[in-house]
Amino acid sequence: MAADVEAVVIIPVFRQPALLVEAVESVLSQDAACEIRALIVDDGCPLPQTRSVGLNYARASAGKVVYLRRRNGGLSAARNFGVAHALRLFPGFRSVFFLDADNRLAPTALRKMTALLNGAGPEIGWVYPDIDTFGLTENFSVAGDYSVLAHLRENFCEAGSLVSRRVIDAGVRFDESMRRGFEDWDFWLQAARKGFRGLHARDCGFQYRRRAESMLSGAERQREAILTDMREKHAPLLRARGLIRLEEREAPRFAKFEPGMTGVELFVDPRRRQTIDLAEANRRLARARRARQQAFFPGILVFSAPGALARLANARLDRAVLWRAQRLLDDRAIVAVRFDADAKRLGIETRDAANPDALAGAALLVARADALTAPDAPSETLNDLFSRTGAELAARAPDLSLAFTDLPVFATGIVEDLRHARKNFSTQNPDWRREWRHPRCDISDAYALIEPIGPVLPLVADPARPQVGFILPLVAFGGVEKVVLNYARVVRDHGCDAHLFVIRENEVALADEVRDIFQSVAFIDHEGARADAWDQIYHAAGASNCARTDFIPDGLGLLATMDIVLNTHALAAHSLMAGLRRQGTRTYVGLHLVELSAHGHPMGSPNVAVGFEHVYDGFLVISEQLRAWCMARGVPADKILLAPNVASYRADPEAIVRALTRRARRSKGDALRVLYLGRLDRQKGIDRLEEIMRATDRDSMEWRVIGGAVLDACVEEARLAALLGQPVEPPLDAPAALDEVFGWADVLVLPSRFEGAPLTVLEAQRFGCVPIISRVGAVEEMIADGVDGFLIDASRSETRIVEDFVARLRDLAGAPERLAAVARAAATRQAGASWDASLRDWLAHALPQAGQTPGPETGRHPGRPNPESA
Amino acid sequence: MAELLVATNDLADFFDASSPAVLVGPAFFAAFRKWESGWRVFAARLDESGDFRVTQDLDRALSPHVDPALWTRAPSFPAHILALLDSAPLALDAFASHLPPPVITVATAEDALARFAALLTGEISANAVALTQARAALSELRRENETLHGVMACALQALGGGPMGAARLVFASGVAAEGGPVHAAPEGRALARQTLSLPLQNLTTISLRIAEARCSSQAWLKVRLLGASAGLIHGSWLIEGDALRPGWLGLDLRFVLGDLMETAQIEIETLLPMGDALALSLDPAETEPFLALQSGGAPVPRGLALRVHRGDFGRRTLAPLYWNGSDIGCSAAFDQMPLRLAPRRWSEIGVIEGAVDFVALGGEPPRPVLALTPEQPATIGLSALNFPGCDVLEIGLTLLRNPAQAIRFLAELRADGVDIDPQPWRRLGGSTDLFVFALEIPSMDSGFDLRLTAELVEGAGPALLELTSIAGLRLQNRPRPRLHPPARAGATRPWEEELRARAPAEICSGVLVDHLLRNADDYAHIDLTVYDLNIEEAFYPAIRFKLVKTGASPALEFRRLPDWPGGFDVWPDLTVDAYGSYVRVRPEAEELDRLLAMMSERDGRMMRTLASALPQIVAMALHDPRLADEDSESWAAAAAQFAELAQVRAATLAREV
Repeated sequence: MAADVEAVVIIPVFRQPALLVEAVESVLSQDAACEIRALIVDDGCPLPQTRSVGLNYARASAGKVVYLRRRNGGLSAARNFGVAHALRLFPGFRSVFFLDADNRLAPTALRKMTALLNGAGPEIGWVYPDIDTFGLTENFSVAGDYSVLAHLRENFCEAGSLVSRRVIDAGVRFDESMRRGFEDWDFWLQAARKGFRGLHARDCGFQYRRRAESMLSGAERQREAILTDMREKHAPLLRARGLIRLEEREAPRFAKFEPGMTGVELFVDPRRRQTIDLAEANRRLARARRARQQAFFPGILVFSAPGALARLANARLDRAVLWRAQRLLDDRAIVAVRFDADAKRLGIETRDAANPDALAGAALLVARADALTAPDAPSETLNDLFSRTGAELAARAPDLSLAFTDLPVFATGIVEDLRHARKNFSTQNPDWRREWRHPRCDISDAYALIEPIGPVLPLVADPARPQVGFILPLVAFGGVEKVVLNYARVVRDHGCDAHLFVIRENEVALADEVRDIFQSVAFIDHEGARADAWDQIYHAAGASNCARTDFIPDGLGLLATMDIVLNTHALAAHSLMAGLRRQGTRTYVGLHLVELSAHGHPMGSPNVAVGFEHVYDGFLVISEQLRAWCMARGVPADKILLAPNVASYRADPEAIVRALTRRARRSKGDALRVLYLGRLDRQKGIDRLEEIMRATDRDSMEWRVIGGAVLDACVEEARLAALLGQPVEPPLDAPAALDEVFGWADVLVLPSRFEGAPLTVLEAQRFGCVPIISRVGAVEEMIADGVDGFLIDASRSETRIVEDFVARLRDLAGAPERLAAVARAAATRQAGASWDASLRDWLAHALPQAGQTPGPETGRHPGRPNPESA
Repeated sequence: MAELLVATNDLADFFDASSPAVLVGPAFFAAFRKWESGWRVFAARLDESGDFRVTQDLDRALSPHVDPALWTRAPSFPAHILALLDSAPLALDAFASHLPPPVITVATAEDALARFAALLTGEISANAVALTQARAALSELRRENETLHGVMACALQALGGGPMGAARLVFASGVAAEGGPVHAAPEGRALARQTLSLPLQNLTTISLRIAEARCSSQAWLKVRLLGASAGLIHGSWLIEGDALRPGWLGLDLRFVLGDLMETAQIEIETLLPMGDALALSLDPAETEPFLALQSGGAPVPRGLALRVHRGDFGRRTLAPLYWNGSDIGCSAAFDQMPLRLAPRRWSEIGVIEGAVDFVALGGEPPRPVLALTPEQPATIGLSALNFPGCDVLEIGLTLLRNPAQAIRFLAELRADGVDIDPQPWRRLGGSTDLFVFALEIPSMDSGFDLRLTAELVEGAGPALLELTSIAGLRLQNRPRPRLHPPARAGATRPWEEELRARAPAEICSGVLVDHLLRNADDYAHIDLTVYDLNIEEAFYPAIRFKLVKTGASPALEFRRLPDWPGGFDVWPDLTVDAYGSYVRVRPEAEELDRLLAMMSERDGRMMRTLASALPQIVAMALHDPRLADEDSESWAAAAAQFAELAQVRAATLAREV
């Protein structure tokens, strides 16, 4: 038991005393350059011959064999038992080989394997042999670069492998609860999770005894049951955000060629590219063709006009464009991506490839490698291929234009070079052993080991920054979108990366603001995402038919790399949450208002959301009223997080000061400036507004009406214009324009029939503009009646409501001191409000240690859920 | 939790089963220590904290202080500990999972020793029983082994005594035309190794291509065939420098290898004096680094240009050229099983005197036929023969015509120009037309030369005598004195032959002439193999065929035989003779079209390629010294007929397109 023992061979034995002799003899016959010891672990074998053989070898081997005996505990326990003894008996050992009692080693096996292991880098945790069987003679190949992704799909590392001491010291052991088989696979996955990798040991002489019935064949019969348990155990390894790092390292899906560049860029995430020279690219392609199970080359070629990807990244559309193109390549060979400049919108649109000019003007060509470079690919021109099986994507964003027309010519040249270069490489199969494994080109199937999932958004995140996905049905100029954009801004400022996912539309407005806030913008162009057939009822409310199985894989693929998602009003996205939670994503739903149908029936997102309560980690509500509503419908109180609205845009502080100064100097004779700002529809009480305007004294009041019809056509608009003596002003979105109008107005009138927590009220209060609003929705949480605004009882008759509004206006017109006091109170109320404060509860819930800086050792934000944890 | 603690210094001894061991309570330790002889005793006790301590130092066992640095926690008791003997019962329930040895309570040390002796005796008895059983099993295994050996020997003799099996091409790397990449052997001694992507299973021949060879007699090339896992040498050849020539170097194994499912490796060892040059052709295609010739730092990984053949186990037992038996270290073939002369050696039989034809029937190598008249004897010779491990050279002669005539013949062996074992003249004729005789050959490391002279001694002639077979045999129980080659007596070697020189070609890497046959009735054929035929993106590793001339009418003949590479996917219009199936193609447009219509596209392309390249191929073949006397113009004309037809056909096709 010397300190100079380098390698230990652990031989568990149970009911195989005769075969044990061959195993031990093969160890004693090792022609190795280092000291080797054999540890026989008798796993409580009831056959006396086992003990006899073991003891005899121990006695006769001059200390080279140690015989241990334990109570029966299974193969895993026996191996661990051997390891425990090896750590004490041979404290300096560098490697351990697990030799089953019915297998053998050729005399040079350990010499070769120890040399390989000792000469490898520290990340190499084990070397594994070819599988050459005797008894039933077969020879199976396990050659090729080691891949964790491939190892997740199938086990090609025999337990009979040489394992580095580093793996043992890292705490990796055989799972003693696994007694039905595949315990060796589990061992390797444990090691992989700790960052170790395997290395193939070629022709080293490991001999695997294969009989008609073995533990392995028994395990094969229970394969699915065992695999289910293993997948649960190793779920962190199987989640998309972990797999995509492996994909980036082992099997980057894209290979990019660009005029003027001498190399080829391989990547998953277009913002993280590694360059190899063309010769190496040709070499890898030849290897992948020659040995499909052993080598990998990207399956998707990207031909890029100079700077095209950078421009798309600037537009935040690069990942989504490549994702969409990959999706199209399921049944197409080539996708042409065109750029369209649009000052105000971001979007991606799919068009059928009916237009041959689409190819000529493309900024990117994304194509399946096998369609272009396979030996049996038809030799047709790029144009012909595009006509036959192409598609077009149009990406739209500000400043997104590119003048480059030679991309098809460039791509054709590259393809010819790749085809020609193939001839420089031998076509001989590099391995005579039988290949049984899946091809590496299908390696992305590893993503689907948990559940069916479509192409995963090509995003490899910074491990120090949590990835937060915001899901919206659309992004126009609505209040909901503005609130979510503010959420995203706060999240970004707290050290996260924010991403926008739009479910129902293929474009978003507010392009500049969106680009400023989000790292990427993606769209689900899927019919299932727009499906909201109200044919299912939950809790007396319409529910969306949003469990479309064809939509779910795509949706999961798009979102699975997020650490946190917030779904606001995207009905179809509810169906993704269960799958996202299995991916380790924390899920939240944002609720803003309970809508009413035309008949006053409650409907809308909150009603649907409560049907999915069990798949959400939290409910983010904007009012106490909504909190109470959720609790009343069975949502646990601890799940509900209040995030009161705050003004949606950043006002100019000087404009606020000027407005407040002007109000302080207002005199009794000054006309009361009355503002309506909002949609022109019945929900907003536009008919009431008309009546209020008619009833007020135009001499003492100046009116401005600003807005447009969104939901319904507004028949009152013309009449309002007549009353105003000028057309209704169009909607405003520029902060300066909003500052101006809030600074101008003394009073904001909102005779709404239906509201949530309108942002306009907060934005008006900020400027000391006094809101007068119907008591609906959660407005009473925003206004202290008579203190910093006025609430009009909405339960009364229409006539009475109008009268109450008119009375209040007249009252304020004649009481400038009172108006000034309320204005000051309103401004004071909003002066201390911030989105940061509003989201504090949510951040604390979603990011448990939000506010702390990322740990430098791990590079992982301490607030991120630990992917290693169950 | 109770721990099993072993003194760190004693841990190794505690688990060392090389001698029996016993644990004893402190009270018995001194007595056991006194009698310790061939076994080990450890003091053991349960201490106050419930831990169980084991050590060979009694004081340490008894000490109340436990220095953690001096004790190691053991996961279990070793299985070889015979017992724990103590004066009082010990409660070891807490250590049940550690499988403690049996606990035996005795009153005195003497009782303890007695119990221990009984345990030892029991172990000895048990081992004796196990040993007897093992010996019986070994005896049974030996009987079965002997039976298997006998059966194996019979099987090999049956296989080896029958017709020689064919060699099938199973691996053909690419080879460049002139200027391709080469591995140039450095000056001095050097070693290079290459792993092949195939197993040793049933290999019979490997061929390397020598790109350049300007070597003196001091240079040599060793080639070894190894198994990658076990590292054993299965084949070894040593080629002296002055035998190295550019072109394909075929190396036969003595036997077809068995079912060895182990990756094959080739090792190249060279010795080059200053001024010599030796280069081996490489496959121009880049390969995996682990499949490349590992010789230190080539920028692009390439393997050797190689051809590898397999055969049927037991069916090809040869006396290979250049065989280096000392590397193998194995005995020769089984008794009475012949080592046949390798097929390609038959082509090297030289005519020294007289009228000698060569007959090649079917796919067989050509056999020399000596035409004898009273005035004209005939002499043939073959040099550098080696039949390692063989005692006799068995030569078969067949009198083909006029058996009533009688001939006499003389077989002579020489080594280094000196006669070995002079032989008498022997007679053949009368009722005997087949004669097999043996020459005794002493075992020696160097090769020897054979010369056969025949004369017609009765009859008017001409008599035709065919040399039918040459094989080596090992005879049972023959003392085999080893002889060093006799000192050179200054005699020259009159029978030296030049190896074929091959001119590098643009369209193929080489042409190997198997033989030329010319008959008196104006029939002649050249049997040749074209390697790496490459024209216009079409590439064929090897194609064997005969260019036949009957008068002025040429034909191409393709035989459907296992060792004829480059056959058709679909054989059109097969004809069958005594030697198998074949296709004959004449340069007639109509017939050619008819055949092409029956062929696959690949075969048609091959035919067109071959036909158009035929003039260059024949020009290369005519460089063979054996064809030196041939009318090269007539052969060229024959080839040109095919080429012309191929060009016309191609033009017709182009117009149709």
